[in-house]
Amino acid sequence: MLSKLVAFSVRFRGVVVALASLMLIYGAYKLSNASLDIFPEFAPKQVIIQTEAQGLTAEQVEILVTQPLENALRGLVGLQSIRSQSIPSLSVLILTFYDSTDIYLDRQLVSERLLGLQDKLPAGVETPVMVPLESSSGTVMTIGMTSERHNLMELRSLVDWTLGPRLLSVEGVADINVFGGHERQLQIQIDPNKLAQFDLSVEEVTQAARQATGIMGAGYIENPNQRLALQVIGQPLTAEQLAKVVIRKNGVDILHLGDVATVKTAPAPTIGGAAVGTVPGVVLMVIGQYDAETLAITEGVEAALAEFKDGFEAEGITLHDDLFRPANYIQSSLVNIQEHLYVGGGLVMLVLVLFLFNLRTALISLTAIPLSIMAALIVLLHLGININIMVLGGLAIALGEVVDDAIIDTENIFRRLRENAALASPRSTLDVVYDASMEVRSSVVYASFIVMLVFVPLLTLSGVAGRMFEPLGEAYILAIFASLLVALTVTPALCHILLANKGDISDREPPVIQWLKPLYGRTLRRVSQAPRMTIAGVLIFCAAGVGILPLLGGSFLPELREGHYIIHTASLPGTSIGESLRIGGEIEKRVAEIPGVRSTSQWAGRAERGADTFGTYYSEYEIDLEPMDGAGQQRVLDEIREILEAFPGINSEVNSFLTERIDETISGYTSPVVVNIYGKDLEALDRKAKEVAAVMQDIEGAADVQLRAPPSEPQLEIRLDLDSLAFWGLTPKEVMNTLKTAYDGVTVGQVYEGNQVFDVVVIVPEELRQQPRHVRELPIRAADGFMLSLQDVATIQQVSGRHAILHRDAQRLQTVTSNVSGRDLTSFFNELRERVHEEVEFSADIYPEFTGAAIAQAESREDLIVHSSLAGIAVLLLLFLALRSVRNVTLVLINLPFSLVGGVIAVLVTNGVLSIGSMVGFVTLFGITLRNSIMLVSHYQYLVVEEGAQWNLDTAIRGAQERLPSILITALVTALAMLPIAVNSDNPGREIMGPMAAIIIGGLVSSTILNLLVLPSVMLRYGKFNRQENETLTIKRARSQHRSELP
Amino acid sequence: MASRNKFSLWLTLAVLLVVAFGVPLATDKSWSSLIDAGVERYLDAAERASQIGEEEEDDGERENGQPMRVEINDEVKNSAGIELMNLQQDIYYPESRAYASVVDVRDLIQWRTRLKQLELELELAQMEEKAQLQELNRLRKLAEATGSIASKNINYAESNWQQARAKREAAELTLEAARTELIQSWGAVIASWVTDPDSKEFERLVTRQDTLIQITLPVALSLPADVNVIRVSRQGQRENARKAYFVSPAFVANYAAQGETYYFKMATGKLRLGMRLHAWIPRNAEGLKGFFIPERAIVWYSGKPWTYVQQDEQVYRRRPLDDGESVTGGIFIQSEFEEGESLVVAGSQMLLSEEFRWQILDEDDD
Repeated sequence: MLSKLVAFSVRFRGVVVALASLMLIYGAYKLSNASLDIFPEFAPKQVIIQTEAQGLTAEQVEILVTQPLENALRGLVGLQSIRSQSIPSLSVLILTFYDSTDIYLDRQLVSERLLGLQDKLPAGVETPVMVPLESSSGTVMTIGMTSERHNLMELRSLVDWTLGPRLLSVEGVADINVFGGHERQLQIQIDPNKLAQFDLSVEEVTQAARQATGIMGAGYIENPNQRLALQVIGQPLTAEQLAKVVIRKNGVDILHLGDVATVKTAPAPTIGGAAVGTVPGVVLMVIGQYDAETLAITEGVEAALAEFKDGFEAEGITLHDDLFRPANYIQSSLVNIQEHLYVGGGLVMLVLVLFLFNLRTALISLTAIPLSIMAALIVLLHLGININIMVLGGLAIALGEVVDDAIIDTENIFRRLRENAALASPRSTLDVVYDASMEVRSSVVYASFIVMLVFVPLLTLSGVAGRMFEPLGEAYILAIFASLLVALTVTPALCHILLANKGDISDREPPVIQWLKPLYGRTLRRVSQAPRMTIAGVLIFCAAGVGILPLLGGSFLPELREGHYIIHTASLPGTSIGESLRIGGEIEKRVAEIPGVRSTSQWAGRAERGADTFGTYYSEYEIDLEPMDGAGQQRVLDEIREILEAFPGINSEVNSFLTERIDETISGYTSPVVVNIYGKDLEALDRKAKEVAAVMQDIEGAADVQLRAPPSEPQLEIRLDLDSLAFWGLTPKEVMNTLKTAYDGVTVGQVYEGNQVFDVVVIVPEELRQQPRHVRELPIRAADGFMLSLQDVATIQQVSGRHAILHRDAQRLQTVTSNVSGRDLTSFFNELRERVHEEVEFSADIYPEFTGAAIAQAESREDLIVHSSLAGIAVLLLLFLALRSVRNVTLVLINLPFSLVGGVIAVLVTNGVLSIGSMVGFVTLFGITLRNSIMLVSHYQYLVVEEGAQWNLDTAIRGAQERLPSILITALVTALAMLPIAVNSDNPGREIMGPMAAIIIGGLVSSTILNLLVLPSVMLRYGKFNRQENETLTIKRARSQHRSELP
Repeated sequence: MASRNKFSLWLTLAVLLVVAFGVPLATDKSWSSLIDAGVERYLDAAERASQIGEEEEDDGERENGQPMRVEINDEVKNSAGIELMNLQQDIYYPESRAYASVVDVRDLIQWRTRLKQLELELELAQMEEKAQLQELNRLRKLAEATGSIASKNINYAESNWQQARAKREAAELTLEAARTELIQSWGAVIASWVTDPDSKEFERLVTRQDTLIQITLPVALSLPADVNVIRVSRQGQRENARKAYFVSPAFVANYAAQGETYYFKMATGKLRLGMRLHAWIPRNAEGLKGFFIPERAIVWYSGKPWTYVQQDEQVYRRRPLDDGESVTGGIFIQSEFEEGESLVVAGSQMLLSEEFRWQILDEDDD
């Protein structure tokens, strides 16, 4: 079939070239419309449900909100797990679905179950909402607003009613998370003293306010002629009007709302705060939709912001539209990758011209690059895969390789044409081109398939790594496959078109080859004369390389140079927003002093529907840098870390944005040993966890045993005294209502101003919502008119309460983690299991689960081993098909440690850290190395089997000399194409590919040297080529048959 | 000899290779991580040793075996925004809060009128009695002297006198009962103002120069014996409160609260009848010496209020405030502190976080 394809391409060369050109044009068109992103969607398929339950404690949220939701959502089709977190005022459920499910269908299933659930939730709890489906990288832009002229309430209203809706209408925007500012309310701030003075209860005020506010329709009247809608106007809409509402009328004495309360516009109790460069303000995070394009959304958002700029300026509002712009990273990455393509392409061209010494052959080889890459891109885009850094990475590492097949083909055709030109009676160009193509066909095909096959395990990686690197693998495999097709079709066609003119072909070899060949021949002869010493030396060299491997460190991803850092700080739970902002201000001040830091901003607490659900003790900072190289960014990072480490009272972490998002995706504890204890009773769980921790501590090898109790937070416990309540004739609900109204506020209606609607809320003034004594002294009015203080009917004390209650699969859990040092994990696990079961008594409703990163890793490692083994077997079968000798296949495999050594040295020289990218580098390297070995060994086979040469030193040297150009050119081309990224890897867009490129270059250097110098000696000593093989005869027959088909 | 040397060289190489590959394989850890772990352990041990030394030197107060102190150097202190205040001794008059209401004095006027009427009635009865007695005596004398008076007339006169006396005694009794009732209702002091026609106090009340207020103490509280002056405010604001002077205990309980009640008077006529007021009752006549800790310096932890005091340049110590008195704007405490000590007034929560840093949520804990 392949021979038919080659024959067709040579025969209908014009058609092939036209089709190729057409594909290039179509590719360019598709590319111009393609979306650009940073990373592929690496997050698992999750649906997050948030339910605001203002005023409830963690335990109340768990029982009243989380539990009913979990019960309703259990058992959904495709649901892998449910995790939940109940924190004060908020319930968060994270439903993880299997990767194979459709996220839109998952969301529909969830929303169907959520319908009708509202009735089962207590009054005051808001409707459970699904957090908008957002892209894995989430934030598309962070914007800030500050003003000297407008207060935080005005700024927030502007965001809520004007800017926010406009930004939400930009295509691809999933949500806007608003931090800081003050949500505007019309508050009826009751004065407890006045209530006592006028003998009023909170409930009476609330009732009066409820009667006075609210917007509702009044229906219509209809007569035989007309229908007239009724519109009620004149309801109190302003503070002044509301203050005039009558609460009580006693004869001529009239008591107004304004007599017992201050009615004014005031901020709602907040769940977060924000500052831009230490100035209090509003921070907006624009969240991108799932699968949406970051760059396009950014441009849309910027266009929308531009509409506001003039107005904001006139109003004295400063718009900080550059706090964080992930698109910068995409753009600089693209510029860097473009640079790499130009420089790499230039170097490839230089090598081709130098080694082939013919501009036409160089051009023919070079056409494989755009054709293969464009073909891969077209397929990827049709598969619905966006162009992102991983796709570009796959294409970048394929860059040097896609040209290889074409080079091998072109070089061979060119060599054969050259030889043909030297003949007294040259054969037709068509024959020569076809024969030369077919000569290398099998090795090219097998080698390419091997290169693709070694990548297959990468596609089967699980978790985030799988989702991240799958597009890279797909892009790479597609590009290599496309290059194979190009080598089989376009290359012979172009060779025929461009090299047909015999006058252009010199019968002399290129000068570099002329110079290299004898030199290489002499060296090889010398090396071959001392085979034992050579092999021993190589063995030691390889052993050293393998020995270094365990010394290398490991990381998931290298440091990404996004020009932006995100700082997290957490203080002791219970820290107020004010204190968090104060600490943040001090940190921002110091960070802003670091040279190269362009802007800083902070948010504390959380936003409604925000991804982060931390309390007010938690802050996040956006630190944006001026454009600078990787080293500069690392310096800034080091200085930020120094500042944070010295700062008291906080735990902090600094990450680049994408590392941060990936970290957030990899949830759960990363300790190797994790014991989860499930049960119903929180206290019992705590006790059992402590017992398990004690047992664990006692086991040899346990290090850093930690009871991962969610942190406690200070609470003011109000324990109602039922006897006192009965004595005073009060009910618990009356007291709770008063408390809720006083400190959480009760919404009694709405008022509108233009198109803006604000809540009318009854609450006590902010200054009376600050100290425990305010709560103690809160006046309570009994039904009979007795005026009491809260402390008369309740015991009030400060206690430590649970800040968060975690569930996994709808069960409460408590976790103990440990590291293991000085012994193997398996025996540690076995002993732990045995001793926990022996020494800790579990009741029927409490049970432990032994898990941990080690177990999870072992499972995924097992998967990887199975897939790699399968791919390995397939590679061996292909090798056997290519070489037809088990012995030769074994010898070819020697090249793997050759390449490993160079790769390991490259890792050591660069940063000494192995990441998943490095693994990809090694996999690529093994493929390329095997290809080179196949080229050499199959040529030996060709010489012995086809040309009938004797298998001896001379044949070995001749074969090696003849293959020298193609091996050297492909190695050099691949290495040089990678060089720009490898040399400058610590820069945007090159961080992941850089280490891969360095490994490939290092491995190629070592494997090429050893392949050229050692493999011939090894083959000479141990290799065997059988001239009588039936298969060869079959091939010959096939060849002659296809040649006859040529015109 | 040479072959033995060669053998030992190979053996050494083999052992080195076994160690180089064997250890990482057996421990499932790379060399670098093993070295790192060793260094880490050494540094931890060194740090613990240094901490043990420090703890031994530290003779301060402990909570669950932990010293209640934080160490922060001066540079960090400035960058972290910690602010200090010098503690100054203060005098504090501890007070209890109570409700008060303006008393309707019309009842007193009615009382005075009623008493006056009763007094007049008594006077009339007395005069009647006196007249009847004189008549009786005259008739008796005439009868004795002239014998011209019929005994029937004498008996009649005596009967009249007896009636008049009974009337007088009834009027006296009524007056006395009214006075007792007045005292029962208003107390002896106010009753004396009512009964005393020259009472200046009554005069001032009636002419609204003074206002009588009734204080109702919280249920569990009594008025200290030596307290004569309290402060009262209409707005519930202590700073605007005015003086009120003790009058007497009240015998009528407040309908709306069930504590002890007392009458006080205020030199103002601006208060209106039925007004509800707030009162602050000193618990001691003499002020207490101690320190005022402002609210912004206070943090709550483990069921108690605390504050931080700078012990030396780098050490901040946590002090309990649970013995103190919760007052407007802070806590007043007599013990634990000394004049001139540096109180942390900004950054207390940060210091608490630093002290309990191990309780802060790890980024890993999600």
